[in-house]
Amino acid sequence: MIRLIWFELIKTFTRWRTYIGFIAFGIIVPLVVTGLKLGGQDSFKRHLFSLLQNDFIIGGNVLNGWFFGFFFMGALWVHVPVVLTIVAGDQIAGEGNAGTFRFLLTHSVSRTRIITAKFIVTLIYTAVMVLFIGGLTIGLSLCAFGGGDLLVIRKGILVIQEARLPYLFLIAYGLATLAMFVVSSLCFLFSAFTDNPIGPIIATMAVIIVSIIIISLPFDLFQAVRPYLFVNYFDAWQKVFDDPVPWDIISMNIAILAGFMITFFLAAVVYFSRKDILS
Amino acid sequence: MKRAIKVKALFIILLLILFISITVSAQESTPQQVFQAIIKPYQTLSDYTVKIQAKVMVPGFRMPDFAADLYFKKPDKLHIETKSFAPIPRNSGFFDPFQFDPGKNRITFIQAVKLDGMQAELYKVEPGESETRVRFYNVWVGGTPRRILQVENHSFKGTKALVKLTYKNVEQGHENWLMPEKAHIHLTFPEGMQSQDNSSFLIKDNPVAAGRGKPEEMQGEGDIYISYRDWHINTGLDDSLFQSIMKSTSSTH
Repeated sequence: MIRLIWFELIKTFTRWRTYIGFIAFGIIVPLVVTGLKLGGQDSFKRHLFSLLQNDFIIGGNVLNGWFFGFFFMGALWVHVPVVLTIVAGDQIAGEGNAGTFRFLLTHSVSRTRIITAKFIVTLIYTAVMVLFIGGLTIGLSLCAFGGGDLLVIRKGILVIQEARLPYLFLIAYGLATLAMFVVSSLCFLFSAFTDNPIGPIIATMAVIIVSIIIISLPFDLFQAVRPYLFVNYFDAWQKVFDDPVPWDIISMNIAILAGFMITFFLAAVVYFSRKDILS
Repeated sequence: MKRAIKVKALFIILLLILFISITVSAQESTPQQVFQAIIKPYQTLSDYTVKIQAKVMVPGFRMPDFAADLYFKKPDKLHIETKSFAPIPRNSGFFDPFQFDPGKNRITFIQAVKLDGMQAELYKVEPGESETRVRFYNVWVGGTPRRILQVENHSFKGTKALVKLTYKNVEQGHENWLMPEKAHIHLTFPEGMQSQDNSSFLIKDNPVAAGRGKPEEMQGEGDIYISYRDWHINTGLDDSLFQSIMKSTSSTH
């Protein structure tokens, strides 16, 4: 199994498309940090505190590296799945498209083991991507704006002391990675249905966009459906920054996200095991 | 009979004189003179630095107590230095001895009152046209030496801040300054104001919007306690300190 995973890792990380996401975020994040550094931070602060500045003079290094690290993760959330699907959608459909499935399946390895190896590689790529974005945003922001307490604007203003932040961010990125695992798993499932890698990418993004619209609109029907959509649990990582930390809700979110991920994977295994390979 | 009427008239005149003299002594000088006398000891103050320790108990704010260095330079330059998030109430967190300069404000005497068992006079101070945030202040003046005991400011937006001040003597060389030791600021925010974010049609509590929020209009009441220590007066603070440096500080003027 380890050898299978290793082969799949080599296949994945020798394709240039695997690096599209790294290149995109490697450009976007430094660009935004530079913009903020060259004056954008001032207008950002004015905009952010426009409602408070009538009554208060706001002092302190509030818009520091931790703040922007947190802000970036919140703001880039919709865009991260796009780059993840490029690789996840290619895992099975890519083989079908290239016509290499027959060759691959003639080996004395079960379909389940092959698809499991591909799935594990998809998860590894997802984790590396999320940690890359997290490390880049936090690292660059801290270099550019320095440290300090974290200001979290969520149900009021919460200030978290700097000493706790590395630990909280580590847990947050773990939860963010889990949420993205679900996206990759869904794309992986769609990838099993088709031989065209574009299809799973579009289908996954369509599911995410429709889900976001449903959970954002205040209609009773939509809000009733909301708990059944995995996108609803995308912000589990941000709950780590609540006070007190709602560990029971976070545990529930972890269980739900893991449930979605396992369901998508098992569906992919079942479908692929019975699939008639024609290419 | 005539004599009795004369005595009565004399008695009434005496009463009138007594009443007038009491009224005059209560308002022995014009409001302008009172406030001129209050700021007179600070005429030679050109700047100060002070360390503060603050406790914020305001609705929607969950934050640890914070320490900061405050810098003030005449006429109204302010600067805060701290690594913490430090919301200092505008017009009440900083001690500005020239805030109620009679030359820049319209001051009227309201009434003599008792404040915490102390005889005080209540004045209404309406800032000049340059002030865009505060509609008017109610200022309680009393004590010996005469000083500002309490200020209530009413902003145009509807926020009310009641500031109770206690003072201490700060000796610096041969000079002696009466500076605030503690300030208790009670804030009352206007009810029913809605920010634009609040009026958004979309559900705010969604995973995409979360983490990109903006503080909302505050409602209800809150308290801020500030204690001041280590006053350094007239150290010749440079103007560059008060320019807007975003890195780790905040300035306004």
